[in-house]
Amino acid sequence: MHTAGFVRGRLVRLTGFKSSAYTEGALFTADKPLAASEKGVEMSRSDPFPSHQEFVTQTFAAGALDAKTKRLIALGASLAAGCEPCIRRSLAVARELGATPQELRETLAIAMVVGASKVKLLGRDCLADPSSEPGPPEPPAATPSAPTGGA
Amino acid sequence: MTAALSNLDRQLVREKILEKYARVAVTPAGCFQYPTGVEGIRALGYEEEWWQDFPAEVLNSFCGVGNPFSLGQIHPGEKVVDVGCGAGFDALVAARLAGSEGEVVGVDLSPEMVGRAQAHQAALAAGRVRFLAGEAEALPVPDAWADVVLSNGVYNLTVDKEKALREAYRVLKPGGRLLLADMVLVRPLPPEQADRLDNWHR
Repeated sequence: MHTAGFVRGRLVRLTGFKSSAYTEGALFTADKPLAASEKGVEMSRSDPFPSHQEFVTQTFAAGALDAKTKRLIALGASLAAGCEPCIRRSLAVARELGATPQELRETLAIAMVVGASKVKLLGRDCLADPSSEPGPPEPPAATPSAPTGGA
Repeated sequence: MTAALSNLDRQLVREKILEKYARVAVTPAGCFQYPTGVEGIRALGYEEEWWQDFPAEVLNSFCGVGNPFSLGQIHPGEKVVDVGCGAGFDALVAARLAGSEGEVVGVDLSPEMVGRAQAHQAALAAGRVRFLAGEAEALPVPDAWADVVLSNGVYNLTVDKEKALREAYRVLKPGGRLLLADMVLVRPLPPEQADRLDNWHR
């Protein structure tokens, strides 16, 4: 769509109408820019790296992994990365692609394992690190500006 | 995928599509794996007031894959092009929404479909709608004519999708809207070329 000149092109949702085991109805919208300059403005306002969208689209296209699995992986990665917009988007698309509540729970559990493992291993390493043992007592801090207690 | 097709394959795809839709023009029943006719119209949430007085044969001929009108409004007085209009259901809905000041052009590759659509138009006495034979890659519509280009389950069938989208862009006015329902791949196709060509016109 963007190569034809359209702006704001997006996949809105799937319709559930399947013509084969591989294909399903989907709804898209796009606009022709108002003026020749709008295309440039649109690009610079919403996407400073125009090739990024293409990268995203290609990455999420079905390949060796099907589209839903890719979105579940994205959801797990987004949770682990703490990227809230990514979580919302991945969740919405995974649901559109038919992810079940159980699949979403299992994905969440994987992200929880990653989060918990990260804390556990960080903690273990820090506890074992001699540089975090207590050192010699620090000299008393000078307190020239502290109130003296008299009035 | 298109790059892998020879000219012979392209010709084959076109012929298969014409063959299939000549059959669908008689009745879509049994030609699709998803609901068609009134069942499809209801399942996709077309508002009943748009179509309740359409003759049964217009409704029965519906085999869209989505409801493009759920994506944005058609305003009274607007000009609309329906790419791959089939027997004319979406174009006739668009004509109703665009009103007496609006104008609609339905284009279809299959002459049988255009004939059906013209008969439906006459049955409904719908004015300001024209049905023309033509292809998505070369629309019989002037530059910057349309406020809206809509299409329902057609671009997936076109051999040169990029050219077809450039045509939609050409006929739209600046600020015009593309409202598109279509088939997309949700799982990878098996690698055999024959399967790909078979899937094209399903």
